[in-house]
Amino acid sequence: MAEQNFRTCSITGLKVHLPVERLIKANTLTALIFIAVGGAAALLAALTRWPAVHLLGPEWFYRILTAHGFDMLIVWIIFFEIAALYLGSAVLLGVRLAAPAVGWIAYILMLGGAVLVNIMVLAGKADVLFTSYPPLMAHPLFYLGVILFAVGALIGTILFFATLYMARKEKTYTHESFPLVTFGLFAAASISVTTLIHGAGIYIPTLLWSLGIIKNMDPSAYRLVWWGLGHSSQQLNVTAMISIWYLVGALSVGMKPINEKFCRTAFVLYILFINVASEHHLLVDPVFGSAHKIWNTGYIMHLAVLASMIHAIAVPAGIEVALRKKGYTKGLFEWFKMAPWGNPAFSATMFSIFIFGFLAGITGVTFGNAQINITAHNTWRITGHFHATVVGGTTLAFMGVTYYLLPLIFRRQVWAMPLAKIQPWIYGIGVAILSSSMMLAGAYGIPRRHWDIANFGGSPFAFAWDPTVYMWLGVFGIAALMAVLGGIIYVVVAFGTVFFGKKV
Amino acid sequence: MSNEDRKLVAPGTLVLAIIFLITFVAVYFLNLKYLSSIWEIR
Repeated sequence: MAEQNFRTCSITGLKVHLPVERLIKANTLTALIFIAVGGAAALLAALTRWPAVHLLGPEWFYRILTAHGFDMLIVWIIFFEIAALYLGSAVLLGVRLAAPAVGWIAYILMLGGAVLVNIMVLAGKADVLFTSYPPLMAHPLFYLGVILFAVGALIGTILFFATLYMARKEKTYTHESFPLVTFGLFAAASISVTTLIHGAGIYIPTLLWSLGIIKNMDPSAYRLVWWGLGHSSQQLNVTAMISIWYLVGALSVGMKPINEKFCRTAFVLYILFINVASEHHLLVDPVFGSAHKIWNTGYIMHLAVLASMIHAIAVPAGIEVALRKKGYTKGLFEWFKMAPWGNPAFSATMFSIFIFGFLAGITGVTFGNAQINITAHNTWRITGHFHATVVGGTTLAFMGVTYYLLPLIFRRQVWAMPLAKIQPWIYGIGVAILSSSMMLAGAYGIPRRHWDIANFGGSPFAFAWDPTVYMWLGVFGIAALMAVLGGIIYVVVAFGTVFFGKKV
Repeated sequence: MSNEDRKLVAPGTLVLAIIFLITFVAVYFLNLKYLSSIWEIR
């Protein structure tokens, strides 16, 4: 009876537990719904920040921006990551998911929490932006929604750990160590535990504050604990993204890491050092001492950066070696030219690597420098940086692996393949230009999270910007349209595949 | 170990990594240069 609950994938030969296949599908499809919602919010927000259009009024701009931040940074990404955790454990190790019913409880909590947050935001009860900093106060149901989502995600993560234990106990995977992809996802899951503990540590008191049970919420204390959730959640996105790079590299070109110990050590460095690096979000807070900030962001952070440098060379090197083995050995870059750029999973992954490396990583490290941060903080340079990381890096990598999930898990051939092939190019180029233009406008001092930089809402103290700013804002607007188009194609192709794709 | 074994396995990636490091240095330099023009030492 236990064997009847499995199927063998005709493409990879992997044993797939049917209950976990249903959970991966549910989490993936829900992720797709929320990237569509967050993407619609992105379009509205971008058309407002583009002064030539200035679409929304102030109230709806901040509302939509709150929804956009939450739905993209938390909901879309974490639903997809939960699907990845189940894939990386049960499917890659050929084991049953430890407790599928618990997986459904996790899913329902996450979905309920996400819907509740969105309802509260769109009803105008939570115009607090993604960071929800006190003294801004939202309706208690907003905070409850966040807590429910976090509890669901934590349960899903624990289920991942339990499944790894099952694989060892039932000896379904007999190698000495788990595959590198599973190890990377294990690192991501480990970071998520501390992330969610920080989340509980801050959102439970904030909920009590919104109910009037706690009288005062110290803004500095809030920010200190919140960023233990806020930055760590982004680093777990990075860790998951890099695991996906290794997975897609293996599936698309047969990539094997040159030195696996090197790569595993890098994942361990992420677990150990990323939380102290979160202090770069607090560099301009007057409450914390300079010695403390500079030690964490000027020194310890670079141990986490070292991990990124290791992966930055290991992933492309592995791809190069794999392609050279296929015979592309002429000169330095024949392998690069002859790589399967027509494979949307491969092209999305390569765009993810280059955008994350050149645009996101470099700017993240430089903006995290205490002195540079004084001028970069709260400008659009920061927003440009994190659009390069999460939108150009993580989201694009997840888009890429979707093109493998569709045939392997949904068992459908990708529908509208010509559209799928150009999707990563449209999206990747759009996001690269978008984030660059944000950073260039921000270098002139353009603030983030601001509805009206042209007139400052009719303030008598309006500021006259250098005209170059308006050029970059125009470039931003056009690039945003391109990125949104890429996002629309992705969602349409994915849902089209699920409903109309030929069965594999 | 033969000369064949000593060859670089990923020379293209090495060049890309060097380009990346040069970009890193350049971006750091430009940022600190820009900062120095705002924060003059008098």
